[in-house]
Amino acid sequence: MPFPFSAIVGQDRLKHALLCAAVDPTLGGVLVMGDRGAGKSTAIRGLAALLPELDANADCRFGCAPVPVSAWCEECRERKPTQTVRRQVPMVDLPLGAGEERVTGALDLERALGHGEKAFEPGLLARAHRGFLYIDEVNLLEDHLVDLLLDVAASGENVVERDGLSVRHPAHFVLVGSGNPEEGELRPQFLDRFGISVSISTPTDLAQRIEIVKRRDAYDRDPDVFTKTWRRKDLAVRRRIVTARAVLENVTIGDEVLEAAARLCLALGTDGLRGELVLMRTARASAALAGKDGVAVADLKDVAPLALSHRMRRDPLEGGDPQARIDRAVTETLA
Amino acid sequence: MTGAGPPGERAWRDAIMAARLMDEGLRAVIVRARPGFARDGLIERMTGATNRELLRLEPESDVAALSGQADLLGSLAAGRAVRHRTLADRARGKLLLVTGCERLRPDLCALLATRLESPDADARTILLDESEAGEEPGLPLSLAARAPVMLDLGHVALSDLQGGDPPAPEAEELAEPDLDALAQACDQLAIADPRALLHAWNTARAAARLWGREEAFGFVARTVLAPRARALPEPQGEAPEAPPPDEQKGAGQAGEAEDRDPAAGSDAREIVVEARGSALASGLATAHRGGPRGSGAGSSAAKRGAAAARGRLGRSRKGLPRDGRRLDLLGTLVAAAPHQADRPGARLHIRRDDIRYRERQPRQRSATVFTIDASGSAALARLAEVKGAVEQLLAESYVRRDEAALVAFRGERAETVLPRTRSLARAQRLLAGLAGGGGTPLAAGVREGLREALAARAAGRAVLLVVVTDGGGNIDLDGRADRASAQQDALTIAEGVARSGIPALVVDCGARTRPAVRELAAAMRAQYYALPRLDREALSGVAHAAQAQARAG
Repeated sequence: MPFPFSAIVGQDRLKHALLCAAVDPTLGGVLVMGDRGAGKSTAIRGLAALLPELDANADCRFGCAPVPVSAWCEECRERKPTQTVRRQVPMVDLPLGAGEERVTGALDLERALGHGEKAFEPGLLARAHRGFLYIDEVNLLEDHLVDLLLDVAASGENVVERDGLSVRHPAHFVLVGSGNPEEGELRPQFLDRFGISVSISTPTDLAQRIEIVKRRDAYDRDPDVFTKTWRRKDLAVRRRIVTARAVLENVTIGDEVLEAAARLCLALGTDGLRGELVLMRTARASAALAGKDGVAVADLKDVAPLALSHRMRRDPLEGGDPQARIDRAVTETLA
Repeated sequence: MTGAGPPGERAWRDAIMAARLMDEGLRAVIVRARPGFARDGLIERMTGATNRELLRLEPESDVAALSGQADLLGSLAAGRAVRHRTLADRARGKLLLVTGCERLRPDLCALLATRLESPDADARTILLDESEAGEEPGLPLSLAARAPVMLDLGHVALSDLQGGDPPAPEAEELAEPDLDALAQACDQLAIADPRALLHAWNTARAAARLWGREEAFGFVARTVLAPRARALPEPQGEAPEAPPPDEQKGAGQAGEAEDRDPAAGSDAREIVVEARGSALASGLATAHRGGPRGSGAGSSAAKRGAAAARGRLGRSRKGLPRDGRRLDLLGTLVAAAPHQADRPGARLHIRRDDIRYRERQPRQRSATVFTIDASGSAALARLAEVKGAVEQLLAESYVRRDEAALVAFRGERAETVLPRTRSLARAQRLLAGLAGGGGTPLAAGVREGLREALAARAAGRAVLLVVVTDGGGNIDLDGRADRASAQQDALTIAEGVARSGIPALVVDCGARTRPAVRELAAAMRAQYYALPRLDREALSGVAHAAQAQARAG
């Protein structure tokens, strides 16, 4: 039983980013860069635990959803299952040392060598289907793995062509990567492939730090009681997500908002259309969470850092706080 | 008073207290010690105190097996799926001892970090750090953050082992004002990670139940807080000032017991401040390098291991696939094919001898150690250029993941301004604080540069040492302003560079070139460049060329 999401002290930007990603998984992954001990993995685990359970085809190794049938994996299409089971939203940790085989799945060696059968053993991507895939220290992960993960996250399908196997299965997940930039930065070409990014720091406020330790302490002593105390607040967060998901498609975005978004991206020098697209989607998810039925120009200010801070063209020799640059651009272009 | 006595005796007493605490819920300790009697003695104490068997893990341990992967041989022999026993399973009810933690591969680090975070309150772990104080790479940060108590047995002598009785028993329960005091101590020491406060709080409570509050705070200050400190505490006169009135009120409300002093919070803070004052010296030596055990260091240990899994696949070799080696299926089948006639039956027979693997060939990464003359009047302009060059080099190195370090010398000494890193963010932050002026301690500078270069080489980098100066030194190794002995010292150190075989580059950036610089380059067996007008393009261009040579050589 993980630490309750709603009991996390502070870290509002991190929580908001994760909630947006939970409401609209098509945003693309979330990149969380910042200090150690800021509660990154606690927040992600907590969020996965409070989301409503999923319906899945019984005995499906990939956790296929009962509908639509068109999205089923090859095995389900063959078996045509009728039974469904309830499953927790998966939250899969990808350890730093994991090899490609373990991530994508690979030839089942035991069966290949023991019985002469060519069988596929699903990997971590299969387990993360319809949930979260979390990589701590993503900035230290091997490049080819980061590449592979971002590809699968974007396409929603894992294709394995190796060792005489040819397997494809659905793998829709929210990729969450975290790391400390002082221990090594993520390569710039990977940065903008994460949908949204948030930079966080440990709380500097003494009272907050003490509150963190008190809650953690209470949780460690009796997780059951602690989780029960926060159950109602967690359920309220769940209701917000469920409602937001339901209304997401109906949140309107006017032309003046689209124009403002384009101006903002131009001012910040974000490359390509991805920035604008993600900015709009994040604004929509954020509005849905806030219970609004449309996105206003003023709403862009709150979500611009999430969608754009890692996409700004940057001179490696120029330091500068991305947040300050965004704030400046927002006041200049949206005024 | 807690923590009195010589450092060795105090360290040993802390170690004994830690051993006792391991039976009271303390889950992990980091022990910095070379192999020897103190280390063996402590491990014996810990197994005794917890009444557990030892399970040893080494940096070379097979992570795939410890993660519960399929046991290929076992499966083949049994004809059914057999899995290796996982770490959690093997270590159950035992005391896990991990040796050589400063050179763990990232995958094993991740596995251990998971164990330290796991809710299994019964897990007990000793992490042995065999590096020298301040040596890079140190303990990986992912582990350092998760183990509460850090012990350093470096100063423990044989005679210290005689003493070391734990303090007299005294049971006290800590209350909320004590947590506030610890939080303030963290604040003053610039310890940002809330985990550290949690560690301090849990450890202090367990210790107070055994030896009372004062001993507990002293122990926590020395073993939990001081090693993590990133700033000096304020002067003693100011730090333990009287608590603000509202805090006193808070303490009074919390203290239900009659004997509790209403100003308990301030008492505790005084103890912490006093105890850490004595223990801080060693902690801060490393803190100045950018964090506990050098914050760039943790990842560099990890990066070294990661190299093995990067790069192109090498040729097929005989052996079992594990640790980043990939099974070479084709190679295995080809090896087995000629023997099929001797192994009758319908299906393919594969034996252990047939199995082939392929390993990725790591590409050696390079590290450039800049040693910069920051002395004199021209220093400011030159420093700006050198800073620019280092940043440029780092920015260009993204793709290759190369590293840079910067040593500056001025006044009477040399200092590592930028420990080896490939992080631009870190470089910019540290470079911003670099100032110039004063005498030219050239010998000390080259010595420090050589030290950094040797550490980088030990970490498996192809190293290049770049020395930028505009003249001979005028401060010798003892800090005296004597031009003759300064030059002699510089040449002596330069010969050391030549002996080490580390490729070097000497850049003369003076307006007029000087023979002294040329002599230095000759003694170092270094390439010599005269760049009277140093600009970042030129410097990084020269460094690139030399790096390429260093890698090829």
